[in-house]
Amino acid sequence: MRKYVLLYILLISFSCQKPKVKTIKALYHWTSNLEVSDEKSHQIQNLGVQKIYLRYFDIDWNEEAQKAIPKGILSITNNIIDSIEIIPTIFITNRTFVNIPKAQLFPLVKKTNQKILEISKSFQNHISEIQFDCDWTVSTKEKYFEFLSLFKKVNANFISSTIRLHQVKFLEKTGVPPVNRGMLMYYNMGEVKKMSTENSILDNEIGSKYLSKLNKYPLSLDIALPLYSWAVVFRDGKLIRLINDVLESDFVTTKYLKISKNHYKVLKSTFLYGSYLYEDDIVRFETVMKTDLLEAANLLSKNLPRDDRTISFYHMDSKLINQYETELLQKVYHSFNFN
Amino acid sequence: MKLNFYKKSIILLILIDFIAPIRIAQSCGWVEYDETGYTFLLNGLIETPSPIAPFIMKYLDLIDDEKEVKTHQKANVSEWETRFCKKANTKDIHQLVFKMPLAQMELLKTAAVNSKIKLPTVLQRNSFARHLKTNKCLEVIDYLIYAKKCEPHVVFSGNYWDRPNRNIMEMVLLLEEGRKIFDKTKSDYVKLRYAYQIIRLAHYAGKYQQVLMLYDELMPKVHADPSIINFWIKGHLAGAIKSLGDNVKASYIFAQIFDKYPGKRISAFRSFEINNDKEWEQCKLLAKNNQEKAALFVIRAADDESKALEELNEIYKLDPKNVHLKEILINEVRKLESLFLGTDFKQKPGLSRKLSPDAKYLVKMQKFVQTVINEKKVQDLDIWKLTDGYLTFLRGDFYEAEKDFKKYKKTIKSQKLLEQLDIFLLALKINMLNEIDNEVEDEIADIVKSNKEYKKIPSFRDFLFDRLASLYEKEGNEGKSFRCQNPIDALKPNPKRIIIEDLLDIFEKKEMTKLERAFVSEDGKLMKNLLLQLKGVDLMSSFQFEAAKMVLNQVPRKERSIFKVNLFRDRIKDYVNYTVDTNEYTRVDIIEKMLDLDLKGKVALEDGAPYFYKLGLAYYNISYYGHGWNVMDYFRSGSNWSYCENNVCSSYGDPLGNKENKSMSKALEFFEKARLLAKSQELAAKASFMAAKCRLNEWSCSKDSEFSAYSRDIPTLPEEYNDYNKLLATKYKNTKFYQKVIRECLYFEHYVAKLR
Repeated sequence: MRKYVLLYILLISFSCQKPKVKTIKALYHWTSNLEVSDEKSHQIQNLGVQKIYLRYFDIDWNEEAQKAIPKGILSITNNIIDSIEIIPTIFITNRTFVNIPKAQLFPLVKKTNQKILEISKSFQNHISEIQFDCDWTVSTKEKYFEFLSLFKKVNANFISSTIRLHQVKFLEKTGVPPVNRGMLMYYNMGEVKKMSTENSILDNEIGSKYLSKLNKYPLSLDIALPLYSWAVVFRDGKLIRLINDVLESDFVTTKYLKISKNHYKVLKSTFLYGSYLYEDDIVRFETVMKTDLLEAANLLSKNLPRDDRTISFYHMDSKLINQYETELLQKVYHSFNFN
Repeated sequence: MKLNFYKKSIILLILIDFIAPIRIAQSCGWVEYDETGYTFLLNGLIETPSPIAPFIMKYLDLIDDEKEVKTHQKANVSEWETRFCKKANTKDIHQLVFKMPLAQMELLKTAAVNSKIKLPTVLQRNSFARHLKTNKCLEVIDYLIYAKKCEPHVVFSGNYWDRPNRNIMEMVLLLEEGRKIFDKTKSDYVKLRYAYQIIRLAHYAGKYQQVLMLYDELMPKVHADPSIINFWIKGHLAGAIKSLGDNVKASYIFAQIFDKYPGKRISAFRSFEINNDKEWEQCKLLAKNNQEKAALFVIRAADDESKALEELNEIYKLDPKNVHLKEILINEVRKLESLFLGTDFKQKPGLSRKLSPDAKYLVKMQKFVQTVINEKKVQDLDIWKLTDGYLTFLRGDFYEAEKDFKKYKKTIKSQKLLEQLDIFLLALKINMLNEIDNEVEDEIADIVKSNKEYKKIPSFRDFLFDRLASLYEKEGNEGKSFRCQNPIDALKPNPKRIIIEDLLDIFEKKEMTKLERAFVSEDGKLMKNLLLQLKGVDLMSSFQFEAAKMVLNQVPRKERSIFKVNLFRDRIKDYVNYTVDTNEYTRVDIIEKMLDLDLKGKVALEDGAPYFYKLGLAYYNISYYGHGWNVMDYFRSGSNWSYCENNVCSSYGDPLGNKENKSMSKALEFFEKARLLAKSQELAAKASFMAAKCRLNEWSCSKDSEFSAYSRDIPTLPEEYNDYNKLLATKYKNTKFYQKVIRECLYFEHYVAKLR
């Protein structure tokens, strides 16, 4: 009898408990050469990363050939630790779908699949998901969605698609891609082209406006959080270039004059990481502050439905990831854990 | 649909003749804007272009590997042709060098060695093959065979999805074979070609150090005349140097290739990589003379976004006869015109041409141009003079610019420059338009119809009509101004009365000008009825029903919109889709019914509640929240379920925004009247419930509301918006309707529960 009472109590206690929600830790690798140094490998292990979204190649429209072609195909100098799952990730430019005739969609799907299989041969890692990244619009959604539907027919893996914030906001117009899951890119939220924008990478004030819409989104969402910095260069008031992986210390020279919190005026023409900046150019330095990153994680975790999900940082090769302590990044990952 | 559509079709006034339908502007749906400005520079303005002219002037068009491959092949064929004193035609050379299979090449060799053996038909037809056989050019044939063997490892297969078919082992063997043949070869020209093949193989095999060694070893042994092959070899040398980590030295070589050899210009530009000022200074030190140093500034200026006055100054100082100077100048002027032209014009929504043009820079550029003119060290002084005049125009000194242009017209001899001058003069004329009357409108129509400069330059369309848009606006012709930049359909999301009235006024004129006819037409058809319907809709949305009826009555019945909707049905919940009614109503029918109900309500005095209730329902149902929303609107968006100033919500692609009829004032007024006059508690309860819905809608789209149409949560309704819920839960809680609402409406149940 005591046994039954115990069992009953156990059953009662389990049935009252909400199931634990798991966070799968991930990173994006976005450069075209996979070269994981020992240090990087160590960092990945310390973070407990379980998945790496590995950019295999881009697909772009070639005007001359009037075809969609692969670009920046991944070259592999050394490999990722075998125990980590790889998610082949393919970026497709929106103009590809603007230009491609419908009749070319299935051949493109087949070539894309072949290329993915060909690159995947280089890895021993488990592959069970393929991700497509495309900033589709109202005018291209039909072709992009058809591409995804056709791809599901030739590849049995789980298919995911990146989702940008505007696609969540205007879901009635932009539609929902026919995939198993979405990866919400919680960044690039400000208007980068506007000089007055403070930080186009991560601005929680802007981001919070989308939060109420997240739990209504018809797809289960994973989350990509930014870990990168860049310099936004304005010439005559017009955005002319983004220079990746710039650090604030790069502006501590007599060539620049700090004119606001994160704006610099070029006093004397100078090269910055391969770009020639002219006198009077205005540079906005944008980065992801630790406090903002934590706040983003908190805001998102509060507004998303309880669900197992992948949290991924974009991206593992930025200088910023090296500047942030493992504890901080762990804290961000753990913000999404519910007990 | 892109704004390009506007750009291309906007104001396609009178394509053939004014008799033909005139199209001003059209749109269909999603619009994306771009930010390019106006340009009046002729393509091919420079008649004797330097090798970089096409690169700089159409850089974006050219940045394509395939085009470079074609240029490269053409140059290769041309060089073979020159070396063989034009004994073979280019088509045959191209066929033999690029298309002939290895087996055929070996047959050619056999036939060349043994004069008794005839060439196979395909080779017999080829003049280059015949020449090689007749003259027993065995070294050349051996070289072509060797090049064919190298091809699979070094030449792009044409299929972007294939991996390069490189076999390093085979490449090394081929390299060794080539090295041996190089030593035995007598012809310096063929030796040079072997050197190229060998160095290329080493480069693509990733043997970068060997590339450097081979270059140092082989090149001193070659004594050929100057050849483009030297640039190809240098390209591979620079590539290997860069791969070995010396991007500075590599960039110096790439700059020299860019400067002198168009066939490898794109790859040279892409490979040029200077990361910081220190590297730039080191790179300059590598230059052996002023011309080489100038080449570094030329490649830096070739960046599409450069602000190249700095580079122009340096190149001019180092090498005033530099052939690239004028191309860089023209490219710079192109950037300046996109910044300075039309800054006071009416901008299309979404465009941001009004940037912050740097007037200081323009002045400095003109000063530089004038110095060049005065010093007379450059070639083609006329183009500098013309540029000076155009810069005066861009500075806004139209009178001075006109004087300059007229002066130059007398001295310039080049036909192309004269053509350019006429284009500048027309742009100046448009820019100087200050007021518009019938005469000017006719003159504009003539320009659009037959001016040859206007037809030559695509920018004229936008330039002219953007200018007109601002002039019409200044003169109070909002409608004409709007039509200069938008299709009539663009009025539908927000039918702005002032625009519609201005366009309708055109129909009142005794005689329309040709331009006016175009403003009120689409596809050649006059659009008066559409404009009247738009006006009627706008009047309805501001509840001026009598006036709306008068306007809508002017539209022939067969052209009136038909609605199959019962506006007098009450619903507990609102739905996006509704059951279609069997009856058909026009807007006039609906107005008449509503006016009739109002009258009956007033006449019935204290018995008027049922009429007022129905009227309240009609007002509710034709609002943004009701199923008959399209009676007073053309486009409703679910994403506008939030606060919008004056109920005009920003809408991408809609120049006037999207006006949503969110006002609940009339519906509330009549529900309250019905509630107060109701003889039955049930009707009063219904009216209270509908009024409560109005209050919830008012709150959900108010400025401070945090309500989200996408949220699953029931929003917390502030106290001041909860009045009718309270009333229903207290005064009418014993009605059957109340019980029904409690059962069916979750959120009402929630609000009531909070009140308990």
